[in-house]
Amino acid sequence: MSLKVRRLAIAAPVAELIPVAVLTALLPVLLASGRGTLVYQIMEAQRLALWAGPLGGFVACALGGWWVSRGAFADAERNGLTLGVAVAGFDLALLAVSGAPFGALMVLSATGRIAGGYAGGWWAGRRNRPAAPAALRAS
Amino acid sequence: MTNRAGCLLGVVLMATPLYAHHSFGTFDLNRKVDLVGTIAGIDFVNPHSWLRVNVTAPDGSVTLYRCEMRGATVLRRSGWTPEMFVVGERIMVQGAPDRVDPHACYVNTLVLADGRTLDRYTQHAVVSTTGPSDRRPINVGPAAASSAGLPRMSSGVPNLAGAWAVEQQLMTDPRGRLGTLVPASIATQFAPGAVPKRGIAIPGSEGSGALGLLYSSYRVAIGAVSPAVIPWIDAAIARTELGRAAVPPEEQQPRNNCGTTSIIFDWYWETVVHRISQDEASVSIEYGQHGFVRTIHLDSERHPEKVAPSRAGHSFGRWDGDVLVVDTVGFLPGMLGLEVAHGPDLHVVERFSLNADGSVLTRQYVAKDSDYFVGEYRGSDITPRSPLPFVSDTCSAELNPVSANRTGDRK
Repeated sequence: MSLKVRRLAIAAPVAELIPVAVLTALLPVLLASGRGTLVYQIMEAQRLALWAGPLGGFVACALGGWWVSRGAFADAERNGLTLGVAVAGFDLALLAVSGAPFGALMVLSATGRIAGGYAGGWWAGRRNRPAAPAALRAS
Repeated sequence: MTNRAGCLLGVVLMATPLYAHHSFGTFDLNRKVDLVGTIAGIDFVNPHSWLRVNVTAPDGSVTLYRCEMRGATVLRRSGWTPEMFVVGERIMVQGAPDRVDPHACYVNTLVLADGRTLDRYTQHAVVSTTGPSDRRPINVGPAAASSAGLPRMSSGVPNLAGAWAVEQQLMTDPRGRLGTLVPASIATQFAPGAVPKRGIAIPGSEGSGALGLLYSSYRVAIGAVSPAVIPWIDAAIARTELGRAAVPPEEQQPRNNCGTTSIIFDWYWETVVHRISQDEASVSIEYGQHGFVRTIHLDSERHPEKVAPSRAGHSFGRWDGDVLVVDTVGFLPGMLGLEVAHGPDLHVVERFSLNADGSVLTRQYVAKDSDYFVGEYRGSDITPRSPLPFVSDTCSAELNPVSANRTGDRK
């Protein structure tokens, strides 16, 4: 098994920072929109976060998994999965340190990241596989 | 993140009504200023008091500084009086400087000539004259409850008469530099500057720079901050386009200009002392600021055909068992709460009730005005009897840092 350690070390924090940035921007953007009260905006930010966090994590990990796994050939899915697990670990640690209550957001976040990493690796693996020789294709 | 971006986020967060009044304005809590001088005077007024201090430089020149303190009524509730500040006496001020006015500051701690140390949120009952042995705020608590049970009028209905004041909010750091506001009764449960488990530090408090604000936003999004733990929240209510357009800018809000906001809001916002008087025909409520008075008519169960619009409106009440149900219409268009406006068709129903020994007054309210907001504006407040008698302190819009009527020397 060949893990792309250097790429993983770069991609994991970046893949975590992207959805964190999205979540961080939610409240200021809602406040700037001027719609509803602060309480409404907090509740709206939390409602949107239920989607934005896991979805952003999935997309970031899928892209990260694809980037890490490029050229990994047989171990592409494993590299992607490793990235997803690492980012999910980061995310759970950050959520716990920040005082998030255990709940749907944590589960969805972790699951989305792992699935995203695997999906990115799988996609890179498909593209990585060398084309079959023409003779084999003809047969 | 650049400073500019941080400032922008800070402005956005601090511009929200939650923090607009009970925040740090232009004071920079990340810096400190120490002044030693003599007391030149005190403006013991609402919504903020100001201490004036003459500071003599080594070359003999004297500069007048003015330092902001809490409002007069909450200071009285904390055991402070204007007589504590004798003109000409020496005083030491530890505070935070103003970003704009080099001769203004935000009071954190005062050391009086007799050695007493007063932190911004000190409850004077525990202030020692020998030193800061206990500088944590304490709950001064409601007045002693009646031992005779629920007080009643001769007719048998509950008697709501008395002085009432919603519980004070104190910062967890008695100096007012760190942390957030919590009810006085639980303030001692927090380490100085701590933040409740699902709360956030007030934006602008010491250490809450741009990164702190970003982290707060993140914590809000992940559900680590509950809307319910934030003090003085407005109802979570959707406003109509008309309702949104009717909200004036912060500096023009009535609450920042010594004006009455509404019969609902002014009861709990400044935590001042109110007075209720009652006879068989009416209940009179004197709000502890701006001389605002409303009368609830008990001898009628309908409104007049024509009501002259006012902030108080026209109220009639009826007893539903031991609950006083009050129906009010006839309002002048204005603000109902922090950022919810209303028009002339506002209709408010309140339910007042006492607890078993008459020491706590509970009010539930429902307001409707479909032109300005969607659905019902609901809420409730719980108000203990006040150990401090009713007092209506002077309000000065000119001395309010957020007021549109400011005429001070802020540059």
